Amino acid sequence: MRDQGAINRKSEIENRKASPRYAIVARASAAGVIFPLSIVAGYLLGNWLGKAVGWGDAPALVGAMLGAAAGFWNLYRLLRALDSGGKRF
Amino acid sequence: MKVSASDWLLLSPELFLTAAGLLILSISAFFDKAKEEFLAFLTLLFVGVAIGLVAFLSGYGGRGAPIFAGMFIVDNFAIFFKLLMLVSIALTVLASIQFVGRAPYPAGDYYALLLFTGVGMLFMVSGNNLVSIYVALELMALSSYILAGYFKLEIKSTEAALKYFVLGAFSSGVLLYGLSLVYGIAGRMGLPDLAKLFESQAKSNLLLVGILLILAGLLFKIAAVPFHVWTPDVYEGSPTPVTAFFSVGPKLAAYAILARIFYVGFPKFHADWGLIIALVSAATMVFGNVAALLQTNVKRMLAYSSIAHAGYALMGVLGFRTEFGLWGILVYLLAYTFMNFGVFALVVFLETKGYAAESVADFNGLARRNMTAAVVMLVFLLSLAGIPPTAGFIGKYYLFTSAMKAGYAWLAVLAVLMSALSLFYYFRIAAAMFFSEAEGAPLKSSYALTAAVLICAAATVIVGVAPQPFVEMLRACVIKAP
Repeated sequence: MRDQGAINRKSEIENRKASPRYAIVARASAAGVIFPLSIVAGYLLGNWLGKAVGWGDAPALVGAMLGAAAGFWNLYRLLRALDSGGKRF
Repeated sequence: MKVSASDWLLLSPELFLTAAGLLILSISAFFDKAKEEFLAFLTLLFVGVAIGLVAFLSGYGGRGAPIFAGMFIVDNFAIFFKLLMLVSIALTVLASIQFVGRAPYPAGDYYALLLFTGVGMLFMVSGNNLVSIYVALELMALSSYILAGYFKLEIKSTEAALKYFVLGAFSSGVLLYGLSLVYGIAGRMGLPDLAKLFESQAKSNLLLVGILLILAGLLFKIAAVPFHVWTPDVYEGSPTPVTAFFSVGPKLAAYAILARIFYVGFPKFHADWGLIIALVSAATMVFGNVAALLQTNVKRMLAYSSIAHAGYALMGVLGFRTEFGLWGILVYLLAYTFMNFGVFALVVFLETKGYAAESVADFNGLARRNMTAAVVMLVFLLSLAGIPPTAGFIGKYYLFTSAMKAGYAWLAVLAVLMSALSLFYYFRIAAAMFFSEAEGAPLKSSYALTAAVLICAAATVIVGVAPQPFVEMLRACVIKAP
């Protein structure tokens, strides 16, 4: 029983060690999906606003631009999270 | 595709630099570290020859017509940018000799990458087709990513390269998506062909989104808000001579293709892209200047300052179909290249332990340690702030006038206010140099670095004091809007 408990604890520690890598992959994948989606969402929102208020194409263009910017910002945040804090190799 | 001898001749600077880069790479494989100065000298020589070739082409009768089946064009506009970019590469080599010589990395790779980045930049400014422009842009970008991570054992440098690469790859994706949308609608990629086709076509939302995505991809390269996030980290983490180069060289190429694509390819949609560029210009000026005010790290401060300057420069693209056209941006970029490179070259001058002048405090008492360096730095700071009689003042004068003539008076007023705000952070460095106590021994610099700084200082003063010949010459380099 004691041996089984030790094995369980060991595998739990290994899982914890391994999880950041999966978390990074998951976050990177999410950023990859969010990037194009934010552009599409920005464009659709702007397009809807342009039609609702009668401002023509301008809100759609600005919306797509802001969507692209949001996608970049999200990606940048992910990269900042991976920073080592200035440690050397 | 029919290719004449004249076509090859007009692209000879690019072809020569490609061969030069390969030669440097080959030589570095057979010579040890002791030959680093020789490689730098050889690179300078090759860049000098390329400058000579471009100067020869400026008087060549065959220039101005599309070459290689319309893929490229070598007009006065391209020749001006090529000369300026080659000068920026030469200055980077001069500023790098001491810095790279001390680093435990192969100098041959560094100089070869610098030349390959240059090849990409030269091809970009001659691009007359969206495909040739994109391929050239990638050549420039891929070499730049490696240059950013040249100090591969320094984690800051590696992280800077990673961020630059990932964000750059996404921006290329956005640009490529925009190009594919435009191609899907037009079925052609040549800029004059696109303009001709769209003249008789009604605009569609999909086309506008395509144009907008192209704009977004290019704004990333210029580091304009809201695509600027990479700039401070990359500038801070890259080796300082590389940062100096990034702050001018690739930006010049990006401004050139932005102007060419939108003036030659999409003149019909001027009202749409003009509005977006005006908004981006305003946001970039405000954000860049305000963020620079809050920085204590000099490289980050200068990174935000260069973001602010990207906002000013974008005003120069707005003079569409006015008597100014692109004249303002050409004058401004001439001034910007020398003043901005000069500031970074002086940061290299203050280098310590591989990373140079981290904080404003590193400039404390510089006037007592090296009066010439302090005075020259003051000239660059005055020029960046737009104080007469410096090149920066002349550049801003033409930019602001251009924006006023194009009907963007509000933007010109905002730019003047932001220039006044920038005085605060530029003068923090000036105050540290002249009014703080000296720390450390007197500073001495290498001859090469001193030459780079003095060339920049001389250009900044000469263009500021006697601008007329330069300004008139640049008038002949403007792309005429159809």
